[in-house]
Amino acid sequence: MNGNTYDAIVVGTGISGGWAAKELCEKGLKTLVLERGRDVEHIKDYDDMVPNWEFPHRGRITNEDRKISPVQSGVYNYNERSKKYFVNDTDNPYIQIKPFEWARGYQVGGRSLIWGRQCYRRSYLDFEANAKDGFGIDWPIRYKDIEPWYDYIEPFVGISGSAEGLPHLPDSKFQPPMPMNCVEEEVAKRIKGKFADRRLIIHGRTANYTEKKGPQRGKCQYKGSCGAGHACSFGAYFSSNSATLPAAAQTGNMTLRPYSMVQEVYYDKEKKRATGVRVVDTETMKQYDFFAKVIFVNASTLNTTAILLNSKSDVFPYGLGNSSGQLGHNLMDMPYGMGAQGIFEGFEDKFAFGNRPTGIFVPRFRNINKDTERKDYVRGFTYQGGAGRGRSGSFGFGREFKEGLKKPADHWSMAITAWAEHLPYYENRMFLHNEKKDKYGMPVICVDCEFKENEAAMVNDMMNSAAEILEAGGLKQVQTYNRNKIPGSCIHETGTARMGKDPKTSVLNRWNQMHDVPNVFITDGSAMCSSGTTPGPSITYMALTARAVDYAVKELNRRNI
Amino acid sequence: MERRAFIIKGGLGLGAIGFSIWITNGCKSRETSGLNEMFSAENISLINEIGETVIPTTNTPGAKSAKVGEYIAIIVQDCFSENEKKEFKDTLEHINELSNASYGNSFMKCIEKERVHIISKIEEEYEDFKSFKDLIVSAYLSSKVGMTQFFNYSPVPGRFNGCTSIRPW
Repeated sequence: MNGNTYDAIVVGTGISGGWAAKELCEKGLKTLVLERGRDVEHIKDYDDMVPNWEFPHRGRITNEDRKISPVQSGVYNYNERSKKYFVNDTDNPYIQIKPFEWARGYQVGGRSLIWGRQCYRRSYLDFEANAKDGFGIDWPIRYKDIEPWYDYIEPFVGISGSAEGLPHLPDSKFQPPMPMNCVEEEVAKRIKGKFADRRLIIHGRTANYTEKKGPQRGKCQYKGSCGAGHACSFGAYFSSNSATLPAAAQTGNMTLRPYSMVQEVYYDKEKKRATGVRVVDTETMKQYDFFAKVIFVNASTLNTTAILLNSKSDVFPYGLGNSSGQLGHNLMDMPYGMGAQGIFEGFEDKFAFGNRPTGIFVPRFRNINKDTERKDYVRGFTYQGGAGRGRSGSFGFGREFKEGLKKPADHWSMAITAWAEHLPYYENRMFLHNEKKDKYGMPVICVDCEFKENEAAMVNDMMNSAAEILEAGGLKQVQTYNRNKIPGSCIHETGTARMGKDPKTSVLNRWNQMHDVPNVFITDGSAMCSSGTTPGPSITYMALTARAVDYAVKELNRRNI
Repeated sequence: MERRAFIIKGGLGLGAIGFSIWITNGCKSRETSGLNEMFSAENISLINEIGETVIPTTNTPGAKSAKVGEYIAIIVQDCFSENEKKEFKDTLEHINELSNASYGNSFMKCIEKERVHIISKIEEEYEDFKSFKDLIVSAYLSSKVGMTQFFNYSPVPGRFNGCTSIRPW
């Protein structure tokens, strides 16, 4: 093996790239892991223990931030401390044919350093939905195919939550749930049995340890920094940096190369295999070639697709493995931000202590069976939310005003917000600009994506059902809201290199293996056939990655690839 | 809370122009704070003193010890829109203007009783003082003094209790 040849190459170090690296290395493959951004070393490079007052703007976004990064600075957890984990929009342009907020993090760990951490398994309903209602193409797998892989990865990820035994929201291998506060518990109790469609409030499921396991990962300290996009020095928060990459490194099989932007996957038409990748060093702008027997592309949905579209050859003039013409199409995100809020009368002498990095969850209750079928839309939605109690306002100024700043709010308040399914539409897509290139020479990505009738048809129901739940739970002054989020802002972009049974209509087979190029695997969000009704897609990418690596290594050993 | 309808947005009339010269030219011709281009050291002291009137030293340190002026100067310069910047500067001007009109002295030279009177009047009559005051509060509460001496500081709570009788802040 010479200096630039490996058994395997992994492109990207986010949630799915980290898992690909860990699994390939643990199976004994010499693996080159390529990351376009800088290295971020677990604990050493974090600043979550630096007090807020030591930051010049104490977390605020500056005018300069807004100018340099107009998109990233609008992402919900972008702030003075987390902004180093977001890209600079000026150096990393993309074109919004229609409004599309694309959050990106180019560093070792990728967006696993800034993710929302909610983890929900997909259910049989999600895998059967396309076949049932005809939107998109049928998933080539069913829940039973992925179930053992959820079982395999979850103890390592560390998901806190409660087992509920719901067929439409399968339980994970849980660590103990993070407790509800008194108002959430009371509201959950009050709504039980009040709805014919069995709406219920359960513990949020989040990738934060609640038990200490091993030297790398401690349990959550409830300091509230992961919600603000700060990495966790206690390692309670699952990221590539805290978990998968250290495991990969421990095998001695991983070579991690930061500042390595993959622009193209090479294809050999005689061998009918991909041979390697072309990398631009983002520090020196020099080009390098690396070669391997198997390549996992985990650059995140849009960038993975861009690399493939940019990998043109005689055989694949429209991009590697794009004989179906589907590459770049069927882009989905998830509509969210519709909900309701109200105040709770009671528990005025109680408070919550500690900053819990999760909340409560309302599982899907629409279109589960005949009784819950809707005439006006297909699929469904879920809610995330929670109750809390802040401080009340103070009036005037001076000594009394100052003391008034400590006064708690008269009441607890509670809010729940919906996340919904986005159907796969062929015309929602990304493609590469014909002429425009970024400073690294990579064609600029154009995104043309919107929510359509089915998504719009859910909006009122998401607001009204939220209000019904809160009212049934005894909340007062209930008001609905719609945050009017644009596509992309959910940061669940998926679908542009989808799996499928038929090579004519899909890019990947049931093993996340390219139909056209059997030694290329794609296990990030681009592989999805549907967005799913329940958010928290990352856990599914992780399970699919472990499953695909297992298959790829078996196929290598059988000399099939 | 009922507020009197008498709200002045544009200015008190008296000397408004003079004061805008003071604030725009002032920071160039005088010694700047070293922190930024927008505010002189005097401006920052003035913000600190206004802050101290709003959040005085009691059994815990007040806004001046928390150096709200230094922080606010950075925030206004780096984070505020042009409109917000103007609104902030106008409010500062009006405070000094009212001080001069009422006591023939700048706010800095007024004694505590006079300062209290000035801020009462501004709060009553000048709508934009609300966001000015909010900024003082946010500067104080986010400072080391605010976070560790005014409030109970638990950077690493270590546990979550969703139903406690002890106020956590």
